[in-house]
Amino acid sequence: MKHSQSFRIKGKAGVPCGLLQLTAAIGPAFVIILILFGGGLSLGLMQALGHLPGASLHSVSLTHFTNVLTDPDFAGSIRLTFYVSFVSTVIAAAVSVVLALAIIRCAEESRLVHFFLQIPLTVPHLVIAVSILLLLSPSGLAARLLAAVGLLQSTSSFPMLVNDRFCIGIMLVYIWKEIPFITFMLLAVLKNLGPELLETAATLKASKMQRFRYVILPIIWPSLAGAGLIVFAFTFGAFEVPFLLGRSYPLTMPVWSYKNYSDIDLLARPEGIAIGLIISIIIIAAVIVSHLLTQYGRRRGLL
Amino acid sequence: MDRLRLQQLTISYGEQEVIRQLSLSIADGEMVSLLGPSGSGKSTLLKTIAGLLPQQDGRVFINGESVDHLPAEKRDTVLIFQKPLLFPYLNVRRNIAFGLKMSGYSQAAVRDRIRKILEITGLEGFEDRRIHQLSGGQQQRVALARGLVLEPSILLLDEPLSSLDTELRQQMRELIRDIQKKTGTTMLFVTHDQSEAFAISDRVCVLLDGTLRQTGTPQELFYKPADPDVARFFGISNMIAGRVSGSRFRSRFVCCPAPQCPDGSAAAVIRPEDIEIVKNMADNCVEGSVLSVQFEGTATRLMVSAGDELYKILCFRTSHVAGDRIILRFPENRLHLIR
Repeated sequence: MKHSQSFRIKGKAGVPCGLLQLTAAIGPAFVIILILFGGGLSLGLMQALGHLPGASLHSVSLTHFTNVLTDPDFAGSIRLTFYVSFVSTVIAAAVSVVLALAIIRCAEESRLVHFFLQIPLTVPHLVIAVSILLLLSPSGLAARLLAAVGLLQSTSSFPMLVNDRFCIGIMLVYIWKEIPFITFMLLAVLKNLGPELLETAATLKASKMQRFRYVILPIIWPSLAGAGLIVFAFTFGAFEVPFLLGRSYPLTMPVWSYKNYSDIDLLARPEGIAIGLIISIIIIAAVIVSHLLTQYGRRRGLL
Repeated sequence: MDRLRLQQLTISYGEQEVIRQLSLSIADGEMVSLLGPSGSGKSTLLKTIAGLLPQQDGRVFINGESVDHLPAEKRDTVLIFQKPLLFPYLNVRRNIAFGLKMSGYSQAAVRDRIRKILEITGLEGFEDRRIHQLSGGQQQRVALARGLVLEPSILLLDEPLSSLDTELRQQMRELIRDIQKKTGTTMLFVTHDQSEAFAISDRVCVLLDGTLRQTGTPQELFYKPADPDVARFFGISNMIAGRVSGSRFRSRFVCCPAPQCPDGSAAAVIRPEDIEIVKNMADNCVEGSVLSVQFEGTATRLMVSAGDELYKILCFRTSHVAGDRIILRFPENRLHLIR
């Protein structure tokens, strides 16, 4: 009796519905996703394995994956991609935490704060990348303005902020774009937190910093980690911003993948897809590792 | 030395004064209840003592020292709220250890204190439970343990039993009283429930409209209210207007001794259950007519019109019905004079 109940959930009218009804309810959507997403992924995998009939390639092997992994540029590319994604995610997350804590009271009372936060969310990455290019390139608006007011001798002395070694331009785009997203996620949690838990912690001798470390952080952590992972996964796999604002060497993984995929030589395409799949594997691994770390932290009382 | 002393405390929310000129002292090891209806400023007062709200005027002393300049974390008090407010991501042991960890106690001291407090609060065996695995009563017990483990100079309890059902409330009430006696912790307990305040406290303070109206033992408050508002708060609506002259109180049909009472107008109050229904007219009696009868289970409430006044009477197993003519007697020793 108990066993059968565990497989039953209450329907809208309070009528228990079984596993069969549940399957029937979500089955069609699941099948469509499976065909579209799974199909695309399978086709990509086949091509990455070397099965590309259009280019007279019929063999199936791991050669293209091996080629990518043993490529002398692979380590540099993955390092650069990880650096851009990790640093921009960490900075965006840190700024979002500070921002969310600073505006939580106003956000509860005013819709205007939400409106201002929504603006960056509605602007596409590409538009912001182009704007950064026009603003921060050596011949851009900022350089010309500073030179015109005499703060720079010439536009050529403007620091390299786009197509630069440290990928500052790329990261600026990601940080500007992702802060509102993470902040929204945190505001939702902080609104539910209310003041009482923090007041309790205060009377239990927790200082302001301790209240942040031992009360706020553990409570916002699932949302912060979730939002951070989404941002990390997106920035790790996105190609348009590093394509526009990055250097020509080394390339980030997505730009490298795109260049191979769109090469006029069809024989380069399997390697492009192999890089794409490697990106996916890295992101999935990052999600699993972060989940395991969070679980470990929770068990040890660290989070 | 007083553990807590409040001196002429005034607390406001914006323009509105919530607490006015309140003075109160609580001695070491005392269990005091702050009793008042919702919105009377009880929780505000506790938050101010704990350092979570600033006062506009007056001073707060803990162990004889002013703490007005200290934030909540530096005051030797712990506030336990209506809801348990446990940290959901920590288990029972870590919740109890929270304050000790924040105060920088050594691991050995933390272990030792937790072992003792688990024993006192009857939480042994629950150490490794997650918060969602506990019942409401167990959660409130953990909250109590979390506060007690810090051994504060004064433990402030803000209606901690109000979210529990009747039976659990009774058990927790006894547990708190028992713990207070065992540990000797000075406690200030806020409640709107009279029976809870009476059952748990050495002394009760009545707070009405932000003003401390009367402080005394439960018996004193219940039978000898200081003013008409306190009397009404304790359910005494029977007030007989009259005058004191030559150490005797006299009204149209009531007369009683009024020792140490200055001459002038006064009112005699009497609890509904102390008015007797008698068969023959005598001293301190008046004839009236029953207006309504309300059966309330243990007792029956009669509304009686006598003279120009209305009286509420609680009696047991009565057969009176509306319209009956009855004689009410006001026993001399049950009358209490107020001004």
